[in-house]
Amino acid sequence: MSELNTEAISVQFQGLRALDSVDLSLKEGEILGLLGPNGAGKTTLVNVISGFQRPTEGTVRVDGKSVGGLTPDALARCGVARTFQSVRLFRRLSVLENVEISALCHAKSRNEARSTARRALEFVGLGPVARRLAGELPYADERRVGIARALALRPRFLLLDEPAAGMTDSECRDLVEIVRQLPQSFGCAVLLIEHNIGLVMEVCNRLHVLNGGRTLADGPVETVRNNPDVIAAYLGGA
Amino acid sequence: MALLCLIAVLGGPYLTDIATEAMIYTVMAVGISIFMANSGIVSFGHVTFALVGAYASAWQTCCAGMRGVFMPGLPQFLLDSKTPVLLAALVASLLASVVALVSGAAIMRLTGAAASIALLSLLFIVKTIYENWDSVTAGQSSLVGLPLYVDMWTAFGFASAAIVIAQVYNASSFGLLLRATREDEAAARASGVNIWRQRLIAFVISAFVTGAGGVLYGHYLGTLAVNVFWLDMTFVTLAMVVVGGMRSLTGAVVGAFAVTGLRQTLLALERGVDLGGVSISLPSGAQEIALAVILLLILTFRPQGLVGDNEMTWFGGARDSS
Ligand SMILES: Nc1ncnc2c1ncn2[C@@H]1O[C@H](COP(=O)(O)OP(=O)(O)O)[C@@H](O)[C@H]1O
Ligand SMILES: [Mg+2]
Repeated sequence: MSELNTEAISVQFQGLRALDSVDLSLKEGEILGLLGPNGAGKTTLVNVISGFQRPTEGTVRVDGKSVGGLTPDALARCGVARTFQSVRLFRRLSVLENVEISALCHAKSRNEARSTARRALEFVGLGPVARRLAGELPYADERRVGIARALALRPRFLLLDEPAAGMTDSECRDLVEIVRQLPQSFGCAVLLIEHNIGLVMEVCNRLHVLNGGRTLADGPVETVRNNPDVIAAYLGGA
Repeated sequence: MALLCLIAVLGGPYLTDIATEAMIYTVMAVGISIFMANSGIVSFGHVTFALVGAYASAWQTCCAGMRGVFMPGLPQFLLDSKTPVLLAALVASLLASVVALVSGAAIMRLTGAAASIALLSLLFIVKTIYENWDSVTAGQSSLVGLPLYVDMWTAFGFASAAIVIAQVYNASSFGLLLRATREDEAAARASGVNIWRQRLIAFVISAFVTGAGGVLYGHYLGTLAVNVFWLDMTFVTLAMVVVGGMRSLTGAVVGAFAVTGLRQTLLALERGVDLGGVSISLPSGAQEIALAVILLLILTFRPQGLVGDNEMTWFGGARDSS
């Protein structure tokens, strides 16, 4: 059973403590919702886990082994994949090439990578636009390319940073279906950052709530939803 | 090809010379473009590899019996060698690649403007070494007597080979991974791309091709001086890549021909032409200034270059959107 843990992660930006001793765990097969108001430290935590941000204190472990010294690309190759809140596609490359690039990690040839990429694009419903330039896609499709690109790494842990931001209700529903299938179809655990509480309740098994860089609550959806601190700090205000 | 035959038959020696020069520059521009087009890093230092290639070929082939007089510091096996010119060109280009591998291991950790400046430093370092290494480069004076084997068809053969190498690289997984780093470094890393490694691979291949361009240059002129491989040549070759289209192989080729044609026209004008009995001539230096102005205009009004990001199909190779 594989598992990703952060142990007492703190990140200090000059005067600002963006994360303060955060313990989070992500277990095989689950979809964990990471909640918190803007500036709570959610993206910073994803940056730490994916190797983009060195924590001031604390350790990230995969299956009990520290992965603190690994670079983002090494982590991606070992099964920790992420998307970006700002998407960051390779805009002047085709949609297929965008996904092929990460598929090349585990493929022996461009042909093999291309077929992995096609499958990932079919899965997120973008098969028909594979030949288009990534920079020409509408916003909602860009985000789905970002997910396909992460999936082509064959991740064991997938970190999605606000994948539904800016989507319409019907686009959100499509996304929920995609995310819900990930553990079975790709065998990966999902960490989902999302503001839309309805969407989170629908798809997640467990919630982890951050506020001002600290863990406010962590547990099954029902328990966390009824936690008075959470209601006061976040749900109440939403 | 048909055009070249036409030039050979009808054009006379003047046009043949220009076409040869354009194709020698094509080799250099294609070499630079292998790195620049795919990495997005502007290189101010690639002339280093033309310098290394040109002298390495001279060490193996120059000056008949006089080699030991010009370059007494060469090791005995080089003084004795009678290397065939094409083998010498290959070995010389490989030496350029070795220099790229060693220097690139450090420089390729840098990004953007820092990398561009570091590449310029590389040119300063290598040029200074060659200038002061009298015993094998004849230092500040010129080497004369390189075998003159480069005619239009040799240059055409080298240019074709350079284009094939660039095309194979561009279509490979290495080319694609490097273009990913050009588009977005963070996203490339998140996609598992080792940026340093991909840049270094392209750098070594591009040094090989640029080095071959330097070899041709020496054996076309028959003489070599270190200070030829300096800022003028850096400017001219960069202008070629930028004028044609910085992200395109076709752009490098189009740029090499466009800039060579323009320079030669302006040089002819500097020498003076007769127009209906009135002789006009441009002041000397007009060639450099005109080229710089045209480069400025292109950067301002058409920053993607003459051909933009488009690729023409060369030798029936697969089209690859890049
Ligand atoms: N590189 C950085 N340098 C300084 N401050 C940062 C940096 N990245 C994030 N922050 C700050 O850290 C806090 C947490 O940011 P972030 O993790 O992006 O929050 P969230 O994703 O939950 O909205 C914010 O106050 C933000 O301004
Ligand atoms: Mg965020």
